[in-house]
Amino acid sequence: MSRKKAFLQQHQTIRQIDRNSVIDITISYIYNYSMAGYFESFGGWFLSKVQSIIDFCAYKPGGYRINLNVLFKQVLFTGVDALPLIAIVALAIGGISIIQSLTFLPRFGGESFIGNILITVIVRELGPLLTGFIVIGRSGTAITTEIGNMAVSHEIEALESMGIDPIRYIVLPRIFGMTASLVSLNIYFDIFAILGGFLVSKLVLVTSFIPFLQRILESVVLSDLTISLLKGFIFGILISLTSSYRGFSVKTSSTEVPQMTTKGVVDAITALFLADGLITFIYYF
Amino acid sequence: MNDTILKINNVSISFGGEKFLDSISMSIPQGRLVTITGPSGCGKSTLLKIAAGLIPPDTGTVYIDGVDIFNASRGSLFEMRKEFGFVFQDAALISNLTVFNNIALPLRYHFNLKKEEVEKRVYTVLENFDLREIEDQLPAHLSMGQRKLAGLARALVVSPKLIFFDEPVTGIDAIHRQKMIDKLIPLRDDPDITLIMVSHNLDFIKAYADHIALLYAGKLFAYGRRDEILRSSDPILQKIMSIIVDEEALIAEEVLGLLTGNE
Repeated sequence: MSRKKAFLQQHQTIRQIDRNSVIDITISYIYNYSMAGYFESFGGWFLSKVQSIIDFCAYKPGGYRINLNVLFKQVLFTGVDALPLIAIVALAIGGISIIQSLTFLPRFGGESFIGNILITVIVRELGPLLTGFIVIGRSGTAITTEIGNMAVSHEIEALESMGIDPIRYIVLPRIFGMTASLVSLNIYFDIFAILGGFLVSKLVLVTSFIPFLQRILESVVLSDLTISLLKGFIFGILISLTSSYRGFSVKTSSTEVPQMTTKGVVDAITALFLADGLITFIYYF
Repeated sequence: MNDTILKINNVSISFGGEKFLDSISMSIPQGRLVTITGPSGCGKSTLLKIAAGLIPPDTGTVYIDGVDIFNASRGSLFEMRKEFGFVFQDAALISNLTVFNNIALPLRYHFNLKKEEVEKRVYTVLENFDLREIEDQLPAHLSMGQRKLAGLARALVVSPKLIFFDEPVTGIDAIHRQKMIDKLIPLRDDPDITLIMVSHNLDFIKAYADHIALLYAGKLFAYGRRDEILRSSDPILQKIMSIIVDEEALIAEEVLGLLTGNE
């Protein structure tokens, strides 16, 4: 009993440190989640990432093979595995857009504007945004969770101890993989949305595919495609950056992982809307 | 042989406003096994991670081979680390890589080796550690003893000259503990390899350590050759040693209590 008492006394200081740590962590938590704290910490992290992109371009024997391997896995997960879900959503959105359009277009003989509506609604806006949301839900959360769990189980420290830069090994392949996937998925979404629109048009208006496609192609201009691809590209970078950042924000406890995953989703959605609004404003006004 | 490979100067770090490590200074001679010991929570693992450059201290410097690692560029620090090994307390194997790929990872990343050469080196290590049977297993399917052996194998595959260990013989079964010790002894006897080890296990320290660093409440209470520390008549030093022994006994007592229902 006395040995136990001595042991507990000896650990009193450590418990005090633990209590103070909780207060300290709470203060830093509040600071980190205030806007100023967020931008300061994210800014510093972003600059280190820029340095890593420069490093990534430098020669590194053997390193590329591993990075490419991780990149291909990211493309497979974010891009290829998402194809069925994207197809279903795109078909539905394409169809729904046409149904809604047909509720008011015939009133002033505007059926011929179906192509313009599909291009404006789907290609310019909904395509990149909905593809982005699906990627946030499937892959952004997966990236935050994976990196967060790696931090908790000291795998990030293990990589550093082996001289492997975690930004280079974990983050950069995910940025490249996710960006390439999002641009490709965006095109894929547009194709299926147009197909969905056609299927509904065929049912309602008894249109054949070639004239329908002709109307679409007449409506589309190069700037619509450019803006759509640009949005996909920027959204890919934003989602991978915010998801990775939140993953690396996990420090010691596995309970931080779901919290950071939620924060990552909120950050990514906010970033997408802000970027979408900004790009649209700059491009069309 | 007695050249200093690692020098820690006046290192301090605080958590939650409390000093966790206070003005630690020590020099690690090349080719020796230096153990850092002390009661639980005294900062042993934190000091080890600072020494390896994984945690930056609030104040103080760490020199490895004469290079100030916390003032070195990020790139050069990563380059230096390819000649180090670090064996973590929980092994910290990369969870989505098999044992083979975990061990091959530093080879593939740092050296421009052909696939056959990587396989040859990894298989040599796997056979040396009796890990061939589990080479295709993911870390989640391994016992802690197997993970720690795989972690040591991963650290050794790049032939490091400086290896950091965090409690290598703690928390594993007797068979794996003996296997681990069997692998550590030749490393200890190699004059080109320096081992810095955090350990709570006094039996191991008494048997194998060349130097002992004794931490207490965040301060370096004593540092010297094994015999100097163990034979010291300083009553405070003896008391700290007895706390370490008591902790081991208390843990064993509590485990026994839980098993028998007599808490």
